[in-house]
Amino acid sequence: MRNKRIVQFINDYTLFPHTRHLPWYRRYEFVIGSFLFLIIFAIFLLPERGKPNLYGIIPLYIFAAFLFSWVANILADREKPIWLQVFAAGLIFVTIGAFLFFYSGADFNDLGSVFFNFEIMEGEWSKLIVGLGMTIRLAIISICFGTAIGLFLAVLRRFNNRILNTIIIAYVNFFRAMPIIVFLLFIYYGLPALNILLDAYTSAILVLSFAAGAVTSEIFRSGIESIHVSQIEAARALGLSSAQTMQYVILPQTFRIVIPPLANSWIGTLKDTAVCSVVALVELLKASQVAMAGKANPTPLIAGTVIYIAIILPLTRFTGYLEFRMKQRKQV
Amino acid sequence: MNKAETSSNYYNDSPIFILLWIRSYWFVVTSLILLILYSLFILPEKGVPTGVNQILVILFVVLSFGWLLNILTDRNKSEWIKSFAVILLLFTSGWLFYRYSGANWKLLNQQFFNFASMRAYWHVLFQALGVTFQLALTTFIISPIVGIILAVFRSFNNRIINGLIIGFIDLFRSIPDIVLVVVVYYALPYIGIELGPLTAATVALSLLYGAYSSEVFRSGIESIHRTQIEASRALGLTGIQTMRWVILPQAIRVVIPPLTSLMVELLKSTAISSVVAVPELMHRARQLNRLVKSVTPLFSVAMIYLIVISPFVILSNRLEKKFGKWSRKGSL
Repeated sequence: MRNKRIVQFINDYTLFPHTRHLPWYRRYEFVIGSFLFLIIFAIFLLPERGKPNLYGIIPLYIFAAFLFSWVANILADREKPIWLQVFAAGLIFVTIGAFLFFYSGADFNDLGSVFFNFEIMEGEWSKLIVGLGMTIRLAIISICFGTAIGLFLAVLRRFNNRILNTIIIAYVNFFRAMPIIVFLLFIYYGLPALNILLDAYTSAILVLSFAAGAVTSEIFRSGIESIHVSQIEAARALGLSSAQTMQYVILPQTFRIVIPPLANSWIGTLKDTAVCSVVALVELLKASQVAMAGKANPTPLIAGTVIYIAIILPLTRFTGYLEFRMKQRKQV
Repeated sequence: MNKAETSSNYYNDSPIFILLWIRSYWFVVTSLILLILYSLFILPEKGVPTGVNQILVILFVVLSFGWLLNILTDRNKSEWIKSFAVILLLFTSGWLFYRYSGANWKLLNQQFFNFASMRAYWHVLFQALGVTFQLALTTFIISPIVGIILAVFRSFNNRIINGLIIGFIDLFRSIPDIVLVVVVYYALPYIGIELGPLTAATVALSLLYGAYSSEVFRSGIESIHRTQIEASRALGLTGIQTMRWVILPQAIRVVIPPLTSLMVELLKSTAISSVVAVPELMHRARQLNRLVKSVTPLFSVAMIYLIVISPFVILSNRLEKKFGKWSRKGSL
């Protein structure tokens, strides 16, 4: 009874009469009230600046949970004005930034001189570029070998011989279950024990190509399988031999279907080359690590990371675009 | 018309008679005998081949592979002959590796299967396996939460929030996992954020896999058309009922297979954290390697990874086959 009277009171004297019909959590009274509550929470309950102790973390989590639900409540409502949604969206990122600034215990005054101290990079750029060259060389060679292996295995699987298929599936599953770093270290440190001497470069290429081959063969297989049987039958009925069917009917279509996932797997191989730093192969990561140790400053490592991002990000975006175009074409 | 008649007619009338002659059993058997003679009398001595001998070995490989392909591509030959040919080639390649890799096979037992020397250290490996699982499990709990939050916020279609989230995802999709782990562990202490090895690895992997899984969840959310939700609401289902009976059954189909393969990738990625001295399997293996002076620890750890991850790979394969229509993803 009492509750009803309060609701009636609020409905009569509200500043926002046009939201009267809405449920309570979508009304502006609630939005403003909970925002005030959040501000009071932030002023009185959040811990001191600096790294919080165990009990200091709990209010941080509670505050983050409240804030997230407040923002979600606003963003989920399509009738809220756009400026309020933008404000709520911005609030999250401002809060995350403020949390990192105040509570990570980091000293951000030194950020420029520590992370972006390009004066000490004087003689180091050339070393990073050499490392980058090694990364790209590794990536290109193992992508070529890997794609060749994958295509070859995918074509072999078309013969539908049970034993051959079992061997190929075992190979693919082996590399899906084996971390590259483990296999690389096994090849690099294990095989010399048997007197099979491989240098770091060869073993890296070997491991990366075989791992890429496993992924690529699955991609090509699914591409080949996606072509309808009727097309193959039609080609055979027209008098093409099986090799000709493969060459003129199956593979051209497969390549078109396969391009986006194939590009994805190539990017994956490019990323995997970073693992080769563990076998003392001086590629981009190792080069920047060595430079970091030499200068006792993390700027080279940051520079190396930025170079990785600068190379891989456009490729990822481009692959995303290819996938998008593929999807559109399918819908048409 | 039986098979023999068809094939003989086919051979005789064909304008490429000579090419089809290689399909005959006479040619197959003769070339097999020639290959055996080649392997007995022309192939070089045991040991790593050099100069002309290298060419001889490569020629042998090419010839025997051609022999296999000649049998495999023929439809008129029975499955048994094809399987026999595959097994023969498998043994041949094993034999070639045995002879010409230059390995000292007497060391195999002492170096690879020297489990007697490992007897005191098995518990170390099992503890390390526990750390691997701890890392994988923590990351696998945190990263879907990050992913779901990002995906849900992205589904509100706020332009600012979408831009920032896409930036976040693209950033972490374009950093190799090992680079991020190294940056978090080695670079952040310079500005005062000091994380232990395990925490650093967890943070780095959670960020990476949060970005990956957010893509997965987004595809799950987008796969359900708006009209379905509207239709079920119009039929009188409540919000929770719509979720339970309409959205979730479809979304899970889309999300579960890529999420399982993400789990496999995650388990593999935990091996990366050995570079920042997290006491997990790979790190312990490298330490034990120096201790027991054989590569048995490396070998055992590779086998442990294979045994632990293989069930997930098989599970992921099955799920992908079951929900195949929706999960046409080469790699993430």
